[in-house]
Formats: sequence, structure tokens, C-alpha cells
Amino acid sequence: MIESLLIANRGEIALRIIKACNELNIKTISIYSEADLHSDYLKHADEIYYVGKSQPSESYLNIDKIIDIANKTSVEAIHPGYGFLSENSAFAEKCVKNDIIFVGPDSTILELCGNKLKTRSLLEKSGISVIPSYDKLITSENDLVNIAEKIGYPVLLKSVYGGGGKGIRLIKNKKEISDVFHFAEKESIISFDKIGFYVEKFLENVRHIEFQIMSDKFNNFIHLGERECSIQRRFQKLIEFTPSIIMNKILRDKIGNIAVKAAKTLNYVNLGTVEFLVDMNKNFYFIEVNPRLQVEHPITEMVTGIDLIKQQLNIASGYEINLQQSDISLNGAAVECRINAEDPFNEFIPQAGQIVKYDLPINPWVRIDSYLSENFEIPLFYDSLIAKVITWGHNFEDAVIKMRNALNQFLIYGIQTTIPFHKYVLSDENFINGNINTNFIENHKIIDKMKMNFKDNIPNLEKIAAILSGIYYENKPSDKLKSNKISNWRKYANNYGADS
Amino acid sequence: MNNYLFSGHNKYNLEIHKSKLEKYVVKIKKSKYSVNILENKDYSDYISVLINNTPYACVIKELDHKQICVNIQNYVFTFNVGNVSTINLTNNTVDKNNELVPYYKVLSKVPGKISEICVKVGQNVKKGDQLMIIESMKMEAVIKSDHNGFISEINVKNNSQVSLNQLLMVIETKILKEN
Repeated sequence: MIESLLIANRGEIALRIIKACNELNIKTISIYSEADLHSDYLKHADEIYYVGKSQPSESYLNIDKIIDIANKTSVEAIHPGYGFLSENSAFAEKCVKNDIIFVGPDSTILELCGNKLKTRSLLEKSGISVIPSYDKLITSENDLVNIAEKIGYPVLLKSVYGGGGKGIRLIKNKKEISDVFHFAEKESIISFDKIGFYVEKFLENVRHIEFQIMSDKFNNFIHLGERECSIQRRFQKLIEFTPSIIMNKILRDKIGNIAVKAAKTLNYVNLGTVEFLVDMNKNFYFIEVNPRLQVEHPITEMVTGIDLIKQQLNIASGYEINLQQSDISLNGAAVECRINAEDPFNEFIPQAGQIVKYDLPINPWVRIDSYLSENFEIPLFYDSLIAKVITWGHNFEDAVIKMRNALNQFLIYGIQTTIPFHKYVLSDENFINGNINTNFIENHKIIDKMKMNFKDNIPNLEKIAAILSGIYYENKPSDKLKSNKISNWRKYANNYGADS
Repeated sequence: MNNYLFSGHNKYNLEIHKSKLEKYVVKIKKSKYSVNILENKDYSDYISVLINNTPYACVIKELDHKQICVNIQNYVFTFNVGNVSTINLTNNTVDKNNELVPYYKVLSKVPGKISEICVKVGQNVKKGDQLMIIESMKMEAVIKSDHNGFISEINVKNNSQVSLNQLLMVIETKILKEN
């Protein structure tokens, strides 16, 4: 087993990897940008090194600097986490050139999986049904118009360089093409410094189901069951759970075998995720392979009892997987809610600011993956995920009840988070009955219903908030504002009376 | 005894009597609430109290002299404090009829970098028109106009960093003429 590891990432996933390393007695080296100087994950690493300014390109995407730190500290391996450099084949190659183990598939597999069109045609040839798309790289508006007309609207414009739901745009008709392309082009230049898109047919009312796969250098391939990730907003996953309500043992074996076949076709080594869209007739269409750890990996860990990070480290160290397909049993159900620093009442606008205080739900069967800390200023430069709440139950309903209780007790003060959104979805009948698909939030007008539900609660909670505000001013000593203001309030009360 | 007026979705006119140290009686209309402060260390923005024996906690932030934000049970309430008729100047509080308000300020709802300014000074804008785009946390937040009017001031430049609630531009509503 490797003895030292550099984590080329930040936040909750850096912390998660550190925890796995602690159990394996692996020395951990963490890196931080200017904005992360006070981030909590750093306290848990054995050594920490400054990597650069806050912009990702200067820090967590800065390959030369990261390799430099790895060489100076003579670490044996680098774990890229998810996002940032996790799917970057040049980075994986550079690690190998510097005699550092890259914890993940090697650079040729990363490159293949990154080229989504190539992966698809390869798998299609091996007999796997794939999502209808057009095998041509798009770099101009003209290309886009031609191909969209051929496939037929609605279509999805996807960045070749994107991933994790970033850089995907829906085009409903020809009129929208120009605006969408202009926007996507700009975004692509900001994010990737280059443009390159492809188009695929947009399937409505489908489920997004993915399979966790695992393989080693000794040609062992197994899958760890599925994750249902249909609850999405603008292609960003918000809630994931396992097992999927449409799954039974026969179907799981069948699709699991397809996922394994895909991994074999690609000569895949290490952990990965095979993503499918599933229509109402339970037809599975392959979309892509994510050659890295997923944000939602904990739900698989909860039902299988297998630590996926330890497995990654084990495989990367060159060992054989100590499990066989028949050893994998899925026990109960698990749900994950992604808590983002976003305002669900206001178009999910990112909320920067200070987390003044928080109360964690200390409940049985609740797991929190987070890097929250008191008085932590959330940096603007990275994604808005601040915590993942994961619950386990003996079935889906039980896991949902536990999640509802957990979220009721999870209080974050200082910024608006997506907790109210999750609480509403968990109480929605369609969600509970498993009547969901990737258009769930739009089809069932979830955001409007959440706002309505909130309005019903206003009379009580807002009154409490007003009382607390009064007490706040009352208890605030020698405040100039207060003395000025009181006369105004008195004046107002005198002039207008105390109507409310 | 002090009076306070907080207007959010509804208006709350509070009359607060201090009964003992850290004990208060709050009157709203005819209802009375007894409030005990459990924690408000150094008079910070975190307060936890008992209201009629039920525990509540919140974090309060003063946005400016006239607006405060109360974060309670994972919800954020914004209140205008004091005499409402003089403070309808921000897009959160602007009067719906447009008539009473000669201009309003567009404040940044999100800190970040200005990636595009879509309007010019003197340009007429309608409710819903895109004013600018702010890049934050790898996402782009589109700032739209909440009102009809014309741009009288733009207070930021392209590519500049803005903080939360920073003044972005001023829209005047009274001289709007239909094109």
C-alpha cells in the first residue's frame, strides 16, 4: 500500500479522502489556495502547502505547481478527488512521468472517456445502446444549426470539455440557437479557454441512473449497484438515492453486466461510473463514463458497506480487488441531499458570506460529509456544495423519514442554503412514490410549490423573526443607530398608530 | 418601552418592555410574548431565546441602516426597519405602483465579478430586461430589472469585483417615456 498521498482538491472531498487515509495509515498532504487558508479540511491533513491564488487556474488546476509540491514532499501518489483535475489526462500523464501514482484510471482511459463521442461509438459497436447523438465536433453556430436540424429539436448542446452537468444547454427550437450558442461559447472560454461542443437528442421524462463499477489490473470487473440521480435542476444533481424504485434483481444484474461490459470494452482500471438514461419502458441508453469518484459515492458506500476511497487506493497501489461480484450485497436504502450555498427562493443564486454558526443533526443512521466550520467565509471561486447529508434506512421510505428528521435539525446560520428545497421535495407525494424523472422539478412545479408552502409558514415564522429582531436591537448597547432610529420609530408610531 | 416596526412579507409593530435583565415582554397587536435571552454573546449576530418557553435561534445581519436579514430555521427573512415610506429605494422594497418611487437602486444580490454590462446610461429598460451578468462560483447570475425606467447611473465597470449588496446601477422611473 502507498504510504503518502497528496490530495489535489479541496473542501468536503479532500476531507473525505483524508479520513480514508487515516484508517490506512497513509500520510496526507493537502494543498490550499488563498481563499481556502481557513478551510477546515486543512486541519485534518498531516502537512499542508500553499498552491496559489484563489482562481482555480492558479491553484487547484495548476498542474505544474501541484506536481512541484508532490515532488518536493516526495509523495507516492496523488488523489484528484472530483472536478478540477480528476479527468485531466495531461495531469495523469505528468504524474506518471514524475513517478507518482495517479489514483484513478490512466491517461489513455481518461482521454477516451473525455471524448464522449468516441466512447459512445466504441460502445455502440460492442452492442450497447447509446443515446442518439451526432458524431461531429461543433465549433460554430452554423455547424450547430445543421446538426440540430438533422437530429430534430429539442436537443442538448454539450461541451466536449464539460462534465458534472456543467456546460450543458437545452435548445428547444431554431430561434434559441443563436443566443444559446453565444452564451455557451462565452462560458466555455471562461471555463476551459477553448470551445468544442457536440449535440445529442434531448430525451424528456427519462430517469438518470448510474452504475458504480470497479476494476483492477488483474482483469477483475465488478459493479456495486445503481444510483438514481433523476432529481436535477439545470443538469445539476440535487438528490440521489439507491436502490432505484424501478430496479429489481434481474434488471440490476442485466444493466450491471452492461456497465461491466462497457468498462471491459474501454479497458477500464480503478473506480468509475457508467451513466444511463432510462425511458418509461425501462430501456437503458448509455450516456457516458465518469472516470473518477462521484460526489454521490456515499450512498453506494452506505448500502454496500464498502469504502470506495480505500478501494481506489488499494487498486492504485497495484493490488487485486479482494471482492467478487457474488460478495456484493445491497443492504437497505440510502439517500443523499446536496446542501449548496444557494438561494432556492431566488433562482438558486450562489450565496457567498460567512457561516456564523451551524447545528449538525446528531442522529442515528445519518452521515454528514462536509467541511463546514464556524465563521468560515465561503469562497466564491469554487462550487457551492457545502455539505452532503446521507441517511440509511431499511428501505427508501425509512431513509427518507430519517433524512427529513436530519434536515429539520441541520441548521445553518449566516447564509441561505438549499435545505428548504430538500425539505419540500422530501415531503412531495410524487417523490415519495418514486414518480420522478429528470424533469421532475419543472413538471411538478416544485419550486412554485415550495414557495407556496413557505408562504403558508410565513405568518408564524416571520413573526418569530420579527420578535428576535426587536430583541436584537433592544439588547444592543450604546448603538448610535439605535438612538437615532428610536426617535423615528416613535415618531412613526405616533403619526400612524400601531397598525400591522 | 420601545417601539419597532419591521416590514417583510407582513408588517410587525412591536412594543418591547424590558422586565428583568435579559427578559422582555413583546407586544404585537394584542398578543403578548415573554422572551428570555439564552445566548447573545458579546451582543453578536447570533441570538438564541425562549419565546413563551419555546426555543428559537437566529443570526441577524444588518444590511444597511434600514434593512436587516434574519436567518432562522434555514429561512432568511428580510425586514425593512423603521418608517417604510422613506426607504423604498432598493429593488427589494420598491413600491409596486412605480408612482411613489422616483428611482431605485440595483444592488448586487451576489458577490462576484461583473462579466457583462448589458445596458448603457440613458437607455430605457423594461421589467425583466437583462441588466448585467455577474460571475460567481463558476455560475453566471443574471441581474434583471424589476422595473420600467431608464438607467441614470452605472456604478461598476466590466470585470470589476463586487461585494454583496454593492450598488450596481440606479434606475429612474419617473421620466420613462414609451418608445
